[in-house]
Amino acid sequence: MISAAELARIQADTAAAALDKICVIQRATTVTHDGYGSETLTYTTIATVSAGMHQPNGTHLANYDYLIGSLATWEVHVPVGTDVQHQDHLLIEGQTLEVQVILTPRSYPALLTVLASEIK
Amino acid sequence: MSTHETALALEYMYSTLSGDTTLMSYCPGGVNRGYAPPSTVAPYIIIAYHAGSDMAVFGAAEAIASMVFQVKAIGPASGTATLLAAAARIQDLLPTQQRTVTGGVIQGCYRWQPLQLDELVDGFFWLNVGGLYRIYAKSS
Repeated sequence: MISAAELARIQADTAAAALDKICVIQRATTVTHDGYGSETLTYTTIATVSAGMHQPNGTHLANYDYLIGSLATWEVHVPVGTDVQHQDHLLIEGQTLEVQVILTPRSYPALLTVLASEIK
Repeated sequence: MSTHETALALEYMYSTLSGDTTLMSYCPGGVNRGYAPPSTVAPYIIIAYHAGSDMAVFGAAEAIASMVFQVKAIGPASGTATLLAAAARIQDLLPTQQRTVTGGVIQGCYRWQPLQLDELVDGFFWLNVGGLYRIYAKSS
């Protein structure tokens, strides 16, 4: 069984080795209404972290089809413990992705993984 | 420049409902058009255009728009009593005789049909309750 200290080292080493991109995490903090009832969300940066991303596998797409549907989706990895929530925006290399699924809990996670879809 | 009649109706409904402290105490999620954004506190109110037509008057020189809007309180069915109170409060607030608004006139508003719908949201039982409201509006 892996100890907590060993797992922490694995997480740190994996983050250093595998996360090659910069990710700005933004969250909707305020909602304003105009006189016609339409809403405007204001997104605020809550963190900047290292991230890695690649295409999701078939299991992810099948399991979460009810959320992802036909959206162009990526698997995004961030360090364990990162504050990321459903429908947060992830800004990576000029691309904005919206978090659809947070893949937790997982056994002995080296990274925190989310499924996020492109916003065009 | 004339004002689109749906704007007159939306502005009337939004200002009337959101300005009532009793209703807002029932529905802290506020009044939203079309849909409530993520993380909106429930219960909340939705107003949505349902159907309508233009009524020509005096040879189409001045048309009145007859519109139907869906106005409902939405939330978990565990709060059914509060949702029903909210729907009753909407019924108290919206019906009106002729009144002037920015950009035109609301010729009248009344509840055309009651509305009640049950649905499952992420496995939980939610209630939508309110009504279809007919609004007659004329742009200035």
